[in-house]
Amino acid sequence: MTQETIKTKQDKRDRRIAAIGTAAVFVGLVAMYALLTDVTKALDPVLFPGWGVILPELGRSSGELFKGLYYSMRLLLPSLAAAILAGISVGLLVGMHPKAKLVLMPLFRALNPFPPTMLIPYAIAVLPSFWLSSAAIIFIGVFWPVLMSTLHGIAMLEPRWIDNARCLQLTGRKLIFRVILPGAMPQIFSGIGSGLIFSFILLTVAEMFGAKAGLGFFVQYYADFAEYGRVLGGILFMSTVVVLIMTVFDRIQRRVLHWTQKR
Amino acid sequence: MNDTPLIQLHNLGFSYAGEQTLHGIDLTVNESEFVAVIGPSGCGKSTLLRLASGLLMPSTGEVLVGGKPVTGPGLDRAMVFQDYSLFPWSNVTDNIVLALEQTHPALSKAERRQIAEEYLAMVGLAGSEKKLPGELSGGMRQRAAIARALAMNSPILLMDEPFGALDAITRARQQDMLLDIWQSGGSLKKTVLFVTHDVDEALILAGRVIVLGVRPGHIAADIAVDLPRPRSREKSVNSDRFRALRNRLLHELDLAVTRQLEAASEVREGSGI
Repeated sequence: MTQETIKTKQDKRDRRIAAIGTAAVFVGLVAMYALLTDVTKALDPVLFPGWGVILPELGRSSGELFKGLYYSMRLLLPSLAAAILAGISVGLLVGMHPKAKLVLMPLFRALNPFPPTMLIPYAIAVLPSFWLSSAAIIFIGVFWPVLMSTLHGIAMLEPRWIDNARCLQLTGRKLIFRVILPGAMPQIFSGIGSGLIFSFILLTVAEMFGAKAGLGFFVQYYADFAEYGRVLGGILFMSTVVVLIMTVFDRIQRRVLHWTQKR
Repeated sequence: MNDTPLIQLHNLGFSYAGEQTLHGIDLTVNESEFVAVIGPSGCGKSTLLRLASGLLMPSTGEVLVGGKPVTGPGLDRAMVFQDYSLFPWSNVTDNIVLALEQTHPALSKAERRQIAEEYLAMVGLAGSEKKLPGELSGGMRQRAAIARALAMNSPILLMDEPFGALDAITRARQQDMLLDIWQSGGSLKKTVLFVTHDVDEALILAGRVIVLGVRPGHIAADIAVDLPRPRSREKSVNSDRFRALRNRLLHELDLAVTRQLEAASEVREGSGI
């Protein structure tokens, strides 16, 4: 057996043990909640319903939850895609033109930290539909981190890659897609990651404000009726969705950036 | 070998941030010549190569390639850097294919791939075609970089300490490989400008060695390496002529370094007053 296969076997075993540990902690937390609610009723049963209440509520609401999920995704995914595309495009355009960058960078720095939630009331007043105003808020929230990280990624490109590209006389689309984008991808992905997390916050906030559907609306709606079994069910459902989206994101990131681990 | 000048440096000078790194360089490299440039660190030998490549523009004088002034990098000059001629996000085949897209735009995808694989096999990398540069050892990476430069089929090869980061045994193997490939080129021999800080490497490979002096960088000596070709490391290294050339080169380098130290101490004394 070679050194390498021993290493990967050891690696696999370590990872399996870690996964078992994670599952154990998760089961422990679930059991602890059961102990505090279902078993001992130590917590207020109205605000903290036990699993015996939450799970049947989850089952009963599943139709509503999946409909909410559909509405949330119909809002989230196009806004995310548009913001990522726009952030990278503007980043490339500005990052590849030093003069434009010098002019615009101070403005970007000033606008970047502005909280998009401040714009919600105004967006609702200005834009014709709830979907459009929420989409605009999510767009702004994701656009900035993607733009800034793209600019950062381009600024961090190693001079030797640029030398290499110049020696091969790469220009235009080839220069962008074969050198600049792949080279800046590690930073761009970290920007997309922050944007993604921020987008969940903005999505639920927007839905709690003025929506008639979606997962944020579901939680807000049943909280108004003090149906906390459904509220907790909705929160659990939403967390599962977030975990799934982040898992898909991590997979994509690992695939695209797999060269960074081999350097 | 013929005597048609291919690379001409005329009164070349380069300054950066007020400091002159090269001054009054006059050098002509003929077609199919293998010229090594050697000198102590800080003599501007890498700068010289970057000027020839067009990555840098001279402050004074000019670089002519085939009689035409160089205004930027060109595909007629393939560059091999010390350890970074390949993009780390593409496997070695794709790296070569990208270069071939530029130099051979008329070829089909399959043909480019085939050429890339041929050259990888030529440098002993058959079986590693799908590897990322980061998955290869330093020596293998440099072989892939040389494969790329050769596949481009540029008449000129510019090599900036290509084996400088390798251990002694790997370096010797790479030198032998480059020597074999270059000598088997026949009448289609590439013109090579090869920067190194290794005296033996310069003598084993080159037909002519340029010694650069320092402060500012200038040509201190231009020595013909009259060892018979085709050469092999063994025959060269064990010949008396090699030893004589080696002593002469070391002497020239020693002079260059001594002058550098003298110049440095003069500056220090001067600034003390």
